[in-house]
Amino acid sequence: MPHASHSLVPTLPALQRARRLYWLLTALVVMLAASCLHLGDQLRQTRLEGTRSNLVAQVRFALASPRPNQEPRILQLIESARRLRSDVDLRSEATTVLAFRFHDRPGRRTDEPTVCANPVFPSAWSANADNIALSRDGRIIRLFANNDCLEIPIDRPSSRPFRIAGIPLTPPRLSMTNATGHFIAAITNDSVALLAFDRSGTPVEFVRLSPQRRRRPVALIWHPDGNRLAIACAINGIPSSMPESSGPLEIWDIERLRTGLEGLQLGWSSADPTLPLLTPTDWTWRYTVAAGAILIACIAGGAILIHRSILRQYEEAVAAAQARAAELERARETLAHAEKLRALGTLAAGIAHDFNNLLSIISMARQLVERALRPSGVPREHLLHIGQAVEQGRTLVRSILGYSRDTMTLSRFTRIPEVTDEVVTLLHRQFLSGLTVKVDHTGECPRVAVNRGRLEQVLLNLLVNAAEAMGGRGTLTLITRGTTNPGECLLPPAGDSAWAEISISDTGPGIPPEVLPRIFEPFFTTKTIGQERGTGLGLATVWRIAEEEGFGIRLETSVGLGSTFRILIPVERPHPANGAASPKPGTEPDTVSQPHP
Amino acid sequence: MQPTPIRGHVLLIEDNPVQARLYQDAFPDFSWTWVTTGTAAVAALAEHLPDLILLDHVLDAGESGLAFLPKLKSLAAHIPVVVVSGTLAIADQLRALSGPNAAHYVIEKPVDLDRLEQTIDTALRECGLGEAVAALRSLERAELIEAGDRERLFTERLARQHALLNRLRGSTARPNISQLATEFSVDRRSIRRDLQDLVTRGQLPPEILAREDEANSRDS
Repeated sequence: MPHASHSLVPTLPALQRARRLYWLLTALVVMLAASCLHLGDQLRQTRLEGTRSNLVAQVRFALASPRPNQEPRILQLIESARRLRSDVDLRSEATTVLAFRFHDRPGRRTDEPTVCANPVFPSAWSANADNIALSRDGRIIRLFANNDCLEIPIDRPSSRPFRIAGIPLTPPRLSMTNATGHFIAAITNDSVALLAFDRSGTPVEFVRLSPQRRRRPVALIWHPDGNRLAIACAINGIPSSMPESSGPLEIWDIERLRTGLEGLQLGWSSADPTLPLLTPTDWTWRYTVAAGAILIACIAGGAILIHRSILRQYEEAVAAAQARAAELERARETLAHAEKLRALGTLAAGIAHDFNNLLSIISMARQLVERALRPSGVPREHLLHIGQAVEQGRTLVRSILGYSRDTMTLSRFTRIPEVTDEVVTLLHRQFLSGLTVKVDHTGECPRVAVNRGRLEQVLLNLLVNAAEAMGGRGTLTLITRGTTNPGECLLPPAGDSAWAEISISDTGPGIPPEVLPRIFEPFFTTKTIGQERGTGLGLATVWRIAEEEGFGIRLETSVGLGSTFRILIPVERPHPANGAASPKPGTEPDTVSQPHP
Repeated sequence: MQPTPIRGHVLLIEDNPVQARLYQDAFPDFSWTWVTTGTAAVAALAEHLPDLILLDHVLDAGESGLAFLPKLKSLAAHIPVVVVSGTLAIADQLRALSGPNAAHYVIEKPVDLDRLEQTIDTALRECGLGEAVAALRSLERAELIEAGDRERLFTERLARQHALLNRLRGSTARPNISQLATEFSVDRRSIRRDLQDLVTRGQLPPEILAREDEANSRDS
C-alpha cells in the first residue's frame, strides 16, 4: 500500500489499541456476567434449600401436633414447595400428607386409608420417607405411624426387599416411629436399626440395637412414652408371629441414648411454625441478578457498538485513503504514460524525418534506375519489391508521425453506426476476410459531436488489431449503443451522464495479464518481427486519440476466450475541446479539415 | 552528343548530398544551383535568380527551410517555391502554404518522381511570372487605373515574355519570329527584344537568339 494512506489516517495505532481494549472488555463482561449468574445460582440454591427445609419443618411440625382441618394448610405448603422448584424431592412431604390423613381420621379403620390417588407418589420405592413407602410396582403401600405399621396391599405383596435408609427390613412388622416422632425402629435380619432424622429430614441410622446371641428380632413395639422399645425375638430361627407370644422380649430404653442426639442436630426440632411461608418471592433474587447482568450486558454492548462504529469509521477512512492512493497511482501512471507519449512524439518526428529522407533517396533512385534501364524480368521484380518496401516504410512513418501531428479537424454531429459501417466496409476485403463479422446497431445510440476522422482511426486500429489477434478465424462482434454507465474504464471518458459506446469483441486468444499493462504503450507488439504491420503503434494511437478526444477506453479480456474493447464517446462535448485538438484563434483558419490519408 | 536543352534554372536547398545528386540526375534538363543552407541560398539568390526554388525543410546547421521562406520571398517574390519535407505535419504544411510568404507547393517525402515532375512543370508554367502578370492585370481592372501606354506596355510585355518562355522552354528549335509577332499582335522587333531579355535573364539559352539572328540574316 502506498505510504500516502498512512499519513491520511494517523490514528491507526490508537485504534489498534482500542481494538485490543475492545476484546479485553468483551472478555471481562463475559466473565462478569458468568460470575453474576453463578453467584445468583448459588444464592438461589441456598435460598431454595433454606426454604425447602423450612417447608419440610413446617409440615413436620404440623404433623407432630395434629389438629383437625390442618390438611389444606399442609397441602398448600407442599404446593408451595413444588412451585419452588420442580426437581425438589417432594416425596417425603407427600408421604407426610398421607400420614396426616391417617392420623386425622381416628374414627376410621386403620386398614382403610385414603391414599390411593396422590399424584406426587413416585413409582419407585420411596425409601427415604419417614413413615410411608410405596412399592416399586405401585401395588403395596406401607405406612408407619403411631407405633404401628400398616401394609396396604393394593394388588398383592411384592417379593422385593424393603429398605429404609438403605437398611433392608424384614416383614411383616418392620418399623415404627416412636410417640415423639424422633426415631424409627426398623427390624433387619439380625438386629434393630434405630433411625433418626437429619437436618434435611432424611432418616439415617442412629444406632444399631443387637439382640442377644442367637436371637433374631421379629416384632417391635414402642412404649407410649416414646423412650422404650420392646423387641420380640425368635430363637434359632424359630418364627414368632406376635411379640406377645412366647419367645424372648428385649426392652431397650433409649432415654440414655438421647445424649447422643445432641450431636445429630435433629432437623425438625428446629421447626418453627411462625416462620412466614416462603412464596415465590425468591424469584426476586434471580430477577435482580438477571437485571444486573442485562444492565451490564447493555452497557458493555453499547460500548462495543460505539467502539465498532469507531472501528468502522476507521476502516472507511483507510478504504478511502487506499482508494485515493490508488487514484493517485493511476493518475501518476497516466501522467507517466502521457509524458512517454510526448517524448516519443518528439522522437518519432525525428525518426520520421530521417526515415523519410532515406526512403526518398531509395524511392527516387529506384525510379531513376527504372527509367534509365527499363528492366524486365527478375530485375524489374526486384525494383518492384523496392517500391513496395518504400511504400510500407511510408505507411510506417505515417503511423509514427501520428504521434507528433496536430489535428485541426472539426467535430460534427455524427451517427456512430454510420461510421462503424463505413470502417467495416473499408476493412472488409483486406482484413476481415475469413472472419464472421456481426454488427449490432439495435441499441439506441445517441448522436455525438465527434471528430469523425479520428474516430475512424480508432476503429480502424481496433478492428485491425482484433482481426490480427484472431488470425483469420473467429467472430468479430461490433455493437453500438448508448449507455449511462461507463463502468470501470482504463481511460475514463469525459462527460458525466451519457455516452455512446462502441464495443468490439473478438474471439482471439485474449490478452495475458502480464502484458496487459503494456498494450497501450507505443512500439509494444506481440506480433513476431517480420509479420506485417507489427509496428506496436495501433493501440497506442487509439489511446492517444482517445485521450485527446475525451473518449473512454474499457477493456475486458480473458485468456483463451477473447477480448472486448469498448470506446465510450461523451454525448456532451467538453468545452473547449483539448488544447491540442483545437486551433488557436486568430492564427489559423477555423474550419480546416484534415485530408483523409 | 546533342547538348541537353536547359528548361530552366533551379535553386536547390538540400542538406543531403545524395538526395541533391538524385534531383540533378532526375532532371538533367535543368541547370542546378545546390546549396545546403538557407543562408547560402540567400547569397545565391542575390547572385542569380532561378526559375524555381526547391526547398528542403530540414537543413544543415539546424536551419529550417520554412523559417527562410519569408526571406526568400522578399528577395524573389515571383519565383515559385516547392517545399520538400519528410516531417511536416499537416498544420505546418498548411502554414507553409498560407499567408503572404507562402510556398507554392509542399511535397512529402519520400518523393515520387512523377509527382515532382508534374509539380515542377506546373510551377514553371503557371506560377511565378504567370501569377505576377495575372495579379497586375487584375489590379489594373480592379483599381481602374488609367494606365498610360508605358504601364500597359510593361504588363503586356511581361505577359508576352512569360508566354514566350512557356512556349520555348526546353526547346532548341528556332522560333518563328514572324509567326510569334502575328500571334501576339506585335511587331517582330518587340518579339526579338523579349527573347533578348529572356536570354539575358538566363531563362532561355543564348543559342535561340543566335540562331534567331542567323535566321533573320538569312531572311533578310
